[in-house]
Order: sequence, then C-alpha cells, then structure tokens
Amino acid sequence: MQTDRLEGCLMAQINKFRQFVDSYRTKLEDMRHEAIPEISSIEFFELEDKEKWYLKTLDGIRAVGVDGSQIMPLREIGIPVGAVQVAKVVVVHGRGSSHLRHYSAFVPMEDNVDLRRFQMEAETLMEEMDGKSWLFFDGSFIPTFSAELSDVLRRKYLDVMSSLLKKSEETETPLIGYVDRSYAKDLARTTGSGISDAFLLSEMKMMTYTEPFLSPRKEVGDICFFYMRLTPSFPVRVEYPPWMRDNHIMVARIIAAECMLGSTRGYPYILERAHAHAVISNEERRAFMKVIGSRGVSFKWMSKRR
Amino acid sequence: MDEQEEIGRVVRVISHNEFEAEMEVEAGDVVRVGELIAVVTSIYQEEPEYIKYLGNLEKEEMRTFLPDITEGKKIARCVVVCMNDLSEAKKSPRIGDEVVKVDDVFLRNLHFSGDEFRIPYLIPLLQKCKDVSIARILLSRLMEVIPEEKELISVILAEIEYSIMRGVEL
Repeated sequence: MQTDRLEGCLMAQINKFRQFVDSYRTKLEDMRHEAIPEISSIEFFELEDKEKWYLKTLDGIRAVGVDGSQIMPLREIGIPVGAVQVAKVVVVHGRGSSHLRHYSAFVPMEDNVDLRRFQMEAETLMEEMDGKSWLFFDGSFIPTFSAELSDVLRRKYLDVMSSLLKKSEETETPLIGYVDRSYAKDLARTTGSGISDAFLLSEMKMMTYTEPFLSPRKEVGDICFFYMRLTPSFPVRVEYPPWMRDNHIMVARIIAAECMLGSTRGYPYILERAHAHAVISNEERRAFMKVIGSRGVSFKWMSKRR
Repeated sequence: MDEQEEIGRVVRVISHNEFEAEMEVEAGDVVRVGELIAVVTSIYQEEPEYIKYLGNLEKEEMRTFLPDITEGKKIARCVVVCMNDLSEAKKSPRIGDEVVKVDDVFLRNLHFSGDEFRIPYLIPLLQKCKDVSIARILLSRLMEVIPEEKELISVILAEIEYSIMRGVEL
C-alpha cells in the first residue's frame, strides 16, 4: 500500500511542512484567480467613513451578545461530568445602560456537551426576542456536522436552530450570526471552485460589504448571508434570517458599527464582551477539577503525560 | 443596627492567610468565608478593561456606548484572622468561595464566643498588617457594637497608638 508517510517525528519535518504549505497556498491562489471572473456580477457596497459614524448608527440600539464555553467530561482522570457556562451581555448604546447574566449547567458524559451549550445559547437569545433588540450569535446558523455525529444529535441541533430562527421572524427581532473565520463555500461552489468564499473574496476593498445571498444549504430552511471586510484580514461572513433581507443596508451598518466599537475593529463589541465573560479560565478549570475530585485515573493517559 | 449583606467571591489566594475578593467593602471591615473570619486590610481598583479602547473614544462616549466596561473591579485584600469561634485559623480560603461582610450582630456574637469578651486575633493582625489605621477602624467599630466594653477597647487602642508613636522618631 502506497502512503505519504514520512520517516521521523513531526518536529523533524518542519522544512517539508513549510514547503507543503507554500505549494498548497500557490494552488489555492491559482484556483482563486480562475474563479474571480465568475463572481464579477457580485454587488459591493461601501460603508460610511465619516468620523465616528458608528456612534450615530448605534445610538439607542439595544445589543445583546451571547456566548458560551464548556468543560468536557474528563474520562482520563475519572470526572464523568462536563459543564457549560453561557454569558449574556446587554448594552443599550448611547444610554449608558448594560447588564450581564451568567447561566451554567452540568452535563453527564452520556450527553453531548456541545449540543447542551448550543441549546443554552439559543435559549438565552430567545429570551431577549422582544422585537426591538439586536441579537448577536457567535457562529453560523448552518451547522456542519462531523461524520461521527449521530442522526439523533443532528436532528436535535437542527430543531434548536430552527426554533431560534422561527422565533426571530415571529417576534421580528433581528438575529445576526457572525462568523469571524468562515470556510463556507456557498459562493465558491457556484464557480466550480473548491476554495472558501472568504478566500475567494480576499481582495475585496476594506470597509465594503456584499449584497445578500441565499445559502444553498437548506438544513434549517432559508438563510441569508453576505461578506464584509473591515480589516486587512479575510472578509467575515454574516448570516441572518431571510425576513431581515429588506433591511440589508441597515443590518450591515449596525454590524460594522458594532465592530468599530470593538478593540480589534474586526469583531462585534457585544460578542467580544460576551466572549470575555463566557470564557472559563484555566484557573477556574483547575479549581473546578480540584473541587470535583478525580476517581479512577487512566494509567494509559498518565503514561503519555510529559 | 443590621447592615445589608454584601456578598463577594474570592478571586485570588495569596498565601495561607491572605486572599483577595471582588466585593463592595471598605478597609477595616470584617468578612466571613465559610468558617473563616478575615479583616479587609486594603482596597484597590483593578485596571479597567476600557484601557484597550481609549484610542478610539472620548470618556463620555465610552460611558454611554460601552457602559459595561467603564468600571474596573473593586478588589479587597483580606487577612484571615481566626475561625468563627475565635480559635486559630486552620484552613485557607479557595478561589470562588463566597465572601460575606458580617453584620453588627455577628460581630458582637463573635467576640463573645467564649464566656467573655475577647480579641485574640489582634496581635497577629497587627503583625500581618502594618497599617495601624486598619486596627483603629476595627476597634472603633467594636466600640460601637459592644458599648459595654468601650472603655477596655479604647485602652487597647490607646496602647496600640502609643506603641506606634514610640517607634516613630520625632
């Protein structure tokens, strides 16, 4: 059997690895150049550039950011339960008003921690659907599942996502899915290319965004998406339910304005804050494990520890 | 007079008898962490997170547009002085433990844990905390809470101040 196996440990292959990455990049660049003529009809819009336009845009907007983090069950050290922590940050921009809430849950090993986290994030967002607030979710509304995930879990994910999107429409509460580093290929596939949309659009002008598109992936029904470039890095992907499509320009302006408030100018402020509060620090993880205590340490795992 | 219960959390353990808590208290206040009793020896404000946003916005804009980050956390550094029966402290607090500011009734009962009024932790406190104003604040509060021992406490306070003065070259 012919394989691409190399003799020696990985650290000894760094030069070969670099060469591999370079040639892979060149291949992607070639594919991008071939695909560019196919996307010439995409319409791009420029964002305002007057000084502090973003404060005027956000004045009076009630923004809600929700993010979560988790501790996976640690089978190796005999802790059969994981945990989830979700943070919700609410800010009324221009009014000096804000609040923060945390929610947490324990997840036994036979349950799926990622699903539980997602359920909690969705539940927390749905509580804020009042027809006035702008809700920000960190990630895509179109899940990509690993091959190992069971049909039952897939169905549960999709049901939660569908409920979230449905309630956004019913209550007319704007809901944004912000994908900082997207590898989706919805646009690129229409050109016959195998590269990601963000890479395909990597030369779009700074402070511009595209027209909205409908995703061809329909697992949770119709989802609109567009790309926006606010920093020298790759464009970001933004998703929203189709009922918001008529307000595309306002949606893009509000998201861009949220990003302008953030410390990096490339990620919405409200999600940055939710993330900061959701993170379970290493110190907290250690304390958590210490308090829970371990029973039945795996000796195979111990023997691999350095 | 009962006070509203202030509750915080241990955010840092500095040594077996020193820790920091995020909570609204003042220097000289007495707090309880489980069975442990501690005295707040100093207060400081953690660097507010808005430092990283300073380049972009004016202060007033930050106050109204980023209201959740304008304040840094208020941190109280505390010294463990005894257990809740005035015996010597035998354990240390842990990160995340609940910290409660004790009210006057608790403080009074604490000092009568034996049959008579006692402040056995005072000398260890003075050894751990060189700021004599902390002991003064604590003793002044005890005089209010335990008025029948006011005379004794004021003698102790005078002794402390006298011994400090002796150490100062005039």
